[in-house]
Amino acid sequence: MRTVFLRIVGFVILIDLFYMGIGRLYLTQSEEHPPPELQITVETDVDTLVGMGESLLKNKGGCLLCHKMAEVGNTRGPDLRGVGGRAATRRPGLNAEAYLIESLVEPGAYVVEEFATPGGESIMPAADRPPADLSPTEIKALVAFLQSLSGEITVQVTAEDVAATEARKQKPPAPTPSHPGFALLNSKGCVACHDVIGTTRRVGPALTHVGERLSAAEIRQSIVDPDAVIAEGFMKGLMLKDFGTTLRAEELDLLVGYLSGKIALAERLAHPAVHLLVLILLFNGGVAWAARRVGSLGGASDSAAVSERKMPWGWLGILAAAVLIGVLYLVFQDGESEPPAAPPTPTRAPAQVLTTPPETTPETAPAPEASASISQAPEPLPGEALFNVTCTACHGPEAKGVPGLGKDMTNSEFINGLSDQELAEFIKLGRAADDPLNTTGVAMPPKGLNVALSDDDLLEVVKFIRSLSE
Amino acid sequence: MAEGGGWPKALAGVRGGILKISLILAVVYLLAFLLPRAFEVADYRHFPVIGSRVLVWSVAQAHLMFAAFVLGVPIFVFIAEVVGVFLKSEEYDGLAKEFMRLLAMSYTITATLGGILLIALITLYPKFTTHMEKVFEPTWAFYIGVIFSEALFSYLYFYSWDLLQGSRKKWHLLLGGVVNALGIGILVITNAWTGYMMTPGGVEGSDLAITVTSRIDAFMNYAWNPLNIHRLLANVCFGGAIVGAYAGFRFLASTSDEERARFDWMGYIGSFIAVAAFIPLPFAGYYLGREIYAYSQQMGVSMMGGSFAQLWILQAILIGALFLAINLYLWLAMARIPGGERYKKFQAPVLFVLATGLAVWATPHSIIATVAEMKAMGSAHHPRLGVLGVMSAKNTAVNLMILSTFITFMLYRRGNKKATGAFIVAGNSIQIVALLAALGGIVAIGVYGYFVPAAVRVGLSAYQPMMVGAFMILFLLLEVPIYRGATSLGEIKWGQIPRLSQYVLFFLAVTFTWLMGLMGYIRSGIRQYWHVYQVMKDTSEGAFIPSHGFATTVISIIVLIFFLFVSMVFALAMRSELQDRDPP
Repeated sequence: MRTVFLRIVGFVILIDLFYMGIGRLYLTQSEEHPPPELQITVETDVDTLVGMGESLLKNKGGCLLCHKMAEVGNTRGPDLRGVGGRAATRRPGLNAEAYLIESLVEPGAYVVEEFATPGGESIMPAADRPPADLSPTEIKALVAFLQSLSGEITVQVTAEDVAATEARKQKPPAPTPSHPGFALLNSKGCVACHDVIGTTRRVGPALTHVGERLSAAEIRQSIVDPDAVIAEGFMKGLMLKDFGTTLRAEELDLLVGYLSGKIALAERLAHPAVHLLVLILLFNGGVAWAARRVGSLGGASDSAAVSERKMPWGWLGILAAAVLIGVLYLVFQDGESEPPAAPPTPTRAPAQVLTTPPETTPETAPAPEASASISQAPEPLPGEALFNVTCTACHGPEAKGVPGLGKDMTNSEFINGLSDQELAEFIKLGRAADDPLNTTGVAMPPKGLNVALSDDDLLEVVKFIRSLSE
Repeated sequence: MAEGGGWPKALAGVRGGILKISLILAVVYLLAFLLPRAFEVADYRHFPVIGSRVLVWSVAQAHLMFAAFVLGVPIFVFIAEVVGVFLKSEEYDGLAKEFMRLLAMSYTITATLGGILLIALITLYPKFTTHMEKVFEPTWAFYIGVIFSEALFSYLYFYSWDLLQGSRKKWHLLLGGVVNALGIGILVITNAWTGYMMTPGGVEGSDLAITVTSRIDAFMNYAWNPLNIHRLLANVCFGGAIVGAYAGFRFLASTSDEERARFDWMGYIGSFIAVAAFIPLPFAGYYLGREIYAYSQQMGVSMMGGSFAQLWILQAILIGALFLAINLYLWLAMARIPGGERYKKFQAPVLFVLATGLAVWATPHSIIATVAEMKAMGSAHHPRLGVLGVMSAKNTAVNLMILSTFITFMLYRRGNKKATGAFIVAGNSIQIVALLAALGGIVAIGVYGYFVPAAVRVGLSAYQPMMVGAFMILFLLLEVPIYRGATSLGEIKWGQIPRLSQYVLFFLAVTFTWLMGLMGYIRSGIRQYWHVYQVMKDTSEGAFIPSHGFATTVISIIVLIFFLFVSMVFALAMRSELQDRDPP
């Protein structure tokens, strides 16, 4: 037996090594790393732009999977040799630059006949969407390279391209609340006035660790009847009084549960550990019951059967203890009134895991002037941060307005009709409810009640508001 | 696992099995919740020495291999039991029970590996698991419930085997049906998660800022159904190969002619199941590939013509080796069939087709060459052999190899039969004409594919397997009238097969396992730098495609680990069977 076993083991290892050997010796050996990010600005010169475009074509864009640029290459898409020259005359009404941009972002708009599917469609994905996911500046760089292929380079990177590229990068990932109550604090605008993650707010009392100061009932009262009890140092009449009606009952329960640190029973019962406990009890209990029933029907005369009817109390005890301890710990621990730290926003892993940036192969190395900026997250625009602190309570987190309060700022004739200075002045002074020019009947407080805003701060807020309507 | 002692003993066995699963899951849940709390909040965490990616890769693949085994075996166990009922054969019934015996220990290992995988994902990839939880949280409790149910019914199916015989057999068959239905349930739930990572649907946004617009679309994504079909067939194929290996091991360790006969037959059945499920597998693979292309051309092209292109050469070698091994096993097996020597003359042409097909499959389109060599050739492709590196040649080769293997199997079946009916000449003539037509059609389409655009060529690829399928059906239908009233040249001498054949069974098992590891790597790797393709980027330290050598090394180690566990399963099954035969 042992000899047979060892022979078989040896045989298995031999076959395994054979296949591994093919993989190591017969196939090409190279790693493929994600392409680096390129820094493209309005100052980037043409030659550098063309070089970046070539890099994008060969790497991040993945263009050569379908197109060729030499005699030998893939033919799933049109040959790119000379495309710069052909682009000018491909589509009537479109110059070369416009045609190339359209080909990249709307490949289905015009499909070269021999490369269309039987249904006349293009197989090419849009270059500004995943997986290529090229930014506006990268699109321009790629167009520059394509134009360089037997054509005249006319494309230029504009400030709008750069701003749009920055805007794409700055879209923050959603926070990962450990409790849905935290998500409600954001979506209902509480964060505009109250401190919940350690940032500074001046309008309402800080809510971090509020569960240590107030009971669940007191917190509930503060939400539905905010003027009943006013914290020392704060003013009456500032907090909206209709949360009691605008919040659904379960939303109010979640908010109170989150802030007070007390988890509602329904939420506890939805915990996966409870599901597992139910299943364990159901299946083990069911089988144990069946075993005892069958044993009792079989009579006590069969000694073997009788001995087999003994329950494995020891195992069951260990199991029950382990499950019970686990469930007690997991389900009945107090919830957190302080949300976790907002997750890091870099495009690479945070420092805990990654200590070196990814390698680049010679083919993927960026053009000389370009610098790969991978490991640092961009800082949010100051205007946006001030807007979030000051204005969202009435105008909503995306400035689309809140019914009965502030108006939509993203599509406002009033805002568009004012200069930056005029708009800043308007925010500084506010507008009373009885002002003849007030169209909502709701007062806009000076500086949105954020008295700390300087004139420069106001201009930053205006800059952000302008970007919302672009 | 002891038997006898009636229902109390049977239920004691079931109780023990459920208890084991419960304990494993309880410990896993505790660790999965406690471990992340011991670390700081992070998107990713690093596992020392081998890294998080290799750990998750290895555990996931090993878990999948065992899962394939425990889900695939009950399918052909059930079929064998049904065959036993219809043929009134105790042999098939005993064989089915023997196969089922292998599963008890396998369930424990599968559950343990699954638990380790869960802990690893939650601890090392918390951001990714948060994303998956957002989308698939409602499926989780259901999945655990199905696992418990599957374990319960499987143990009951095995332990009640001897108790539900005779007039109560129908209840046992019902249990078998329930076991398989639950097994398929486990498969489709997990395929939804896997398919979502490749071809996500039903969500808007990216990363963790997603809104689930349709959980149904997230569940029933592009890759879901192709994965269901492909994995169902692959599970049966894989399960057959492993039980074939078990039979091979028992044959080589046998001490009597009776034992050798028994395990020779078991090995034949196991390999038959593996091959029968293997034949349609490439077509299920084409369906999966087609859906991947439909979802994202770029992903499809990366898979076939980009970073992973060369791995298909390795796959081709593996499949070519499988075909050669299967044919070798059948030719060796013919040695124990009186009358089988009549068909020896077909070995050479079949071997020629197989060897040529393997050579075509192993030929890459682009070869590694120096600049000077490329200049001399005029390109990166060999001037003559380069034409064999494209789809037309490879599709033609594989269809011819399938056809040849089918012919070998048909000759094996005819081994000890001598046709005596009036339809012999006409029937054989029609079969020969059909074979020539299929051969000619397959080759003609292959050649024509060189002269048409890619889109047309891809469409043509469906006709070749259709010709193979049509030929197989026609051939089988004609066998019935040809061999009606046939005489036997002698009983098959089970047990008198050369010992080499049992090593071939092991070769099949290892190769199928390696193939599964390779395909799993490709399927997972084509997501490239995405956890969820186009929805959630992979920004971990492992966000790169490793070299082929590294990947094949990891796969080889996983295969070795898998067979280490499988040897434990074999040993326990053998001990259990010996205990039943000679109880203490």
